[in-house]
Amino acid sequence: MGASVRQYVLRRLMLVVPTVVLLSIFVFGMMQLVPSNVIDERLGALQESVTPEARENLEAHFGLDKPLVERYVSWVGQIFRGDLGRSWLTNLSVTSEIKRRMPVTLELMALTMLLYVPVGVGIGVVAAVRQNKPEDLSLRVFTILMLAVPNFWLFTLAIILPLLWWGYAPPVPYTELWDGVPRNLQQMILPAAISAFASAALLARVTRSELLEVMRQDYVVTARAKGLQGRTVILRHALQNAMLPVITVIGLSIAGALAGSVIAEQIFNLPGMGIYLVRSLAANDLPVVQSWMLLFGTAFVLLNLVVDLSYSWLDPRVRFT
Amino acid sequence: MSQVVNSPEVTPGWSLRPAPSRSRRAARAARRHPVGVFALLLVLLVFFLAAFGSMVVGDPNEISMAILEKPSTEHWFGTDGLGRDYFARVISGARTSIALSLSAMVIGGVAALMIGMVSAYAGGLFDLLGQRIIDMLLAFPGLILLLLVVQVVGRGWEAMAVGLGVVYAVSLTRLIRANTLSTLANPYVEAARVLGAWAPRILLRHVLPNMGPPALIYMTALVGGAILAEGALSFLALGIAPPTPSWGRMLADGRELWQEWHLTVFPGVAMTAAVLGFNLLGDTMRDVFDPRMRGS
Repeated sequence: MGASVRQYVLRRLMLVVPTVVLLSIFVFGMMQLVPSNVIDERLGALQESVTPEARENLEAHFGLDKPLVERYVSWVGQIFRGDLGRSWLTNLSVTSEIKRRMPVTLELMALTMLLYVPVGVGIGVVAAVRQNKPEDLSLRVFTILMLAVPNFWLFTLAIILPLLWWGYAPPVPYTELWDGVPRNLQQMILPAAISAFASAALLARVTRSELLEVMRQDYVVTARAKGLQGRTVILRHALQNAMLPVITVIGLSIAGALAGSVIAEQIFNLPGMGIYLVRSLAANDLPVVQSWMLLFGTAFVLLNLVVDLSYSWLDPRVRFT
Repeated sequence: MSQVVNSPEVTPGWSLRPAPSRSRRAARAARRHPVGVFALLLVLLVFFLAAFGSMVVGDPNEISMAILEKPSTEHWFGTDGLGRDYFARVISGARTSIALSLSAMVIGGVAALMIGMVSAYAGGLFDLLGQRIIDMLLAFPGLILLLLVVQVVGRGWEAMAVGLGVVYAVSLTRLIRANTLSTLANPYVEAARVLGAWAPRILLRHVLPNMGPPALIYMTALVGGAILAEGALSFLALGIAPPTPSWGRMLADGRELWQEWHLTVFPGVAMTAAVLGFNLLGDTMRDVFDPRMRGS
């Protein structure tokens, strides 16, 4: 048993390498398909006045005359040296820009997850324990509604309604966490809380159905028959075994939280990775888009790996073939 | 007595009663799934507004001097910054959402059927590589993948449909492949093969008919997600270009004019209602056709 688990973990780890290589080829290929290149973007309206020879010189300067494979290899080489290229729009180094912006997004995501897990699991447990009672029904209506409400509408309302009612707006401009914790939290807590509540709906749903499933099992009935308190049965016997699919949902929702932060940053004007992506997409700033997709694509692949591996750690019954 | 005879434990697959008529079965299903009936009505309303809404409410792009008026009997939802009737724009937004979601459903569905069925039938290296690519794409959140695809295909209507279609296809291919594999294991497929049927015939005549219900249920549940994704892209000004009315774009414009609450409230409510309808319909269909998933 132990050996087979070790084998599975090893194989799963080794599979990450070809997946990330595939990902880099995919991202690189997609960027080549965009009908525009560095010369078009830099020249803008001047394109017409450039002679064909000058254009050829420019192509040689940017290495665009080299074959695709060579350009891919040199891009990968650059990445290993920690160089993600320069923005076509601002000519700033993408690496240093990411270093500056990443903490904002990571803080937002961390705050979101911190609120998301207790809210989602809590709602799910209450709904399951009070099955078909008013609490359960109202929580189910809440989750169904939350799954349908667009998160960008909620974010917008969270900005507009306090403004209209109390004239309150989060402080501007953005303050780093280490420059002033209360001010930073004032800016972060609203988007994080709304992301958390909006995405907690799915988690609550899964927690509820899994817990109901487990509570029908014999050992839970036995625990009750032994005379254990309801709370002990739920927390120690049922919840632990209902957690496996719940962990999956939590793991996958980290990727969802990133997608949510792309929108939240835009609306709350937080200078993180999300707003960087949206601006670069609008300006066709491909080096930024390419680096962003590779970076987070790799993160998503690793996240999936962690979720998969957590199965073998959490549930020894899971068999690997 | 009849109660006992009709319980599923006692009669596996047959009943002493004559089979109820189609309309009676429908009525019974409606009574058992009131939420499903509500969802169906909501979806039909959205479809109706998407198809005929602009005939009823008039041109959503007609500008006037009545700028930023509050809701009144003349302009039910008020007017926007260009004096356009907001009711007409919100109603016409349904057409954008539905047209895009449905074209995406067709594009994504066909692509997923082709990739999934061929991948399962062919097996080998093609299947292995295809599955790895799908795995990788599945790691991306739908919105991020959509942003990437739209950047490549271009802005506008067709690009959005293709982008949403790709996201659809990525999440549907696995289901199709798994269903194809289990269908291919049936004796009648082997019989067809022995009779000398070639691959396209087996896939189209024997496998395809089995794909319908599960794929359709799954896709209905995805329509809500497609509406939300389209809205998010338009909200980020990376989707449908103005002046085409789009709920996401209207919400983005309403944010600039935050003093006018009606600009933000109505498109949001419309969008939530549409997504709610499709989500609930998908849930009900799953309950009815796939009892194993019931209650989840």
